[in-house]
Amino acid sequence: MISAEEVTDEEKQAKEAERLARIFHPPEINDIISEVITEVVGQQTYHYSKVGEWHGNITEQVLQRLVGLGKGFKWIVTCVIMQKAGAGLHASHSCYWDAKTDGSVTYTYDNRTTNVVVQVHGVSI
Amino acid sequence: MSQYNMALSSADLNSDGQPGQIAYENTYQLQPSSKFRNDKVRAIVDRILAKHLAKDVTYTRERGIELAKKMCSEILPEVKALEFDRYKYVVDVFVGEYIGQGIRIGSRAVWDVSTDNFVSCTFSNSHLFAAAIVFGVYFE
Repeated sequence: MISAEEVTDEEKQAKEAERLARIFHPPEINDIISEVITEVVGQQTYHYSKVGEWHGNITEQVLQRLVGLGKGFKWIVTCVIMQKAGAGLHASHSCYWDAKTDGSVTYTYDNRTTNVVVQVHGVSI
Repeated sequence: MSQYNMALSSADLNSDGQPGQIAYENTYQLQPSSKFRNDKVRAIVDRILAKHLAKDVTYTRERGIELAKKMCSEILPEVKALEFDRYKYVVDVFVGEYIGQGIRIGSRAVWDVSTDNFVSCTFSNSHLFAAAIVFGVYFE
């Protein structure tokens, strides 16, 4: 015989937090990416000599902060930095994974001279 | 007898009497029986890029959209058909117009280097460029 229990709001929130810790949660990842891009690129003008450094810094810092979330995930961060010249760019991805726990986020940023696209894929272990 | 019944009901039903999650036995498997093979996946990606991108193909917005989606959706089933054991795949395809602008595409990952890997192939002519990346991640 299983008895019904009253579930308090606190317990509901704790359960929800525990559930979110186990699955891919886009909002916190969007925040991480936007902070890193603003810090690394900001409003700077595109220059071919700086792109390598920006690219390395963005991917490195996003990855470090994702690992710092402490979730049981393998992370893949793809970054595209393109000079704004009126050219078109199309990105598509297809995935074979567990849709309940895994996910991906695509974040686009642009300033006057540069387009930045960061994709984060999180695959649970 | 009553303990056995309790064990059954707690495995099958959660506290509101709804069917709960099925618990799986351990596989005791630490490494995949068939690892991600770069050479085989590269052959697939090269073939699909060559099929859709002839030397003189030009860029239009519609063609760019169509190429990106088509190549992505064709690469994934072929990689799945290689039947690597317990692998998850992510296929990224970038197609863009080339008018002399600078562009840099790259990725980094935190994963297990003994089991996980990736393959990347590119194509470019004077009108457009395409890059396809396939990641294979082992499900431990």
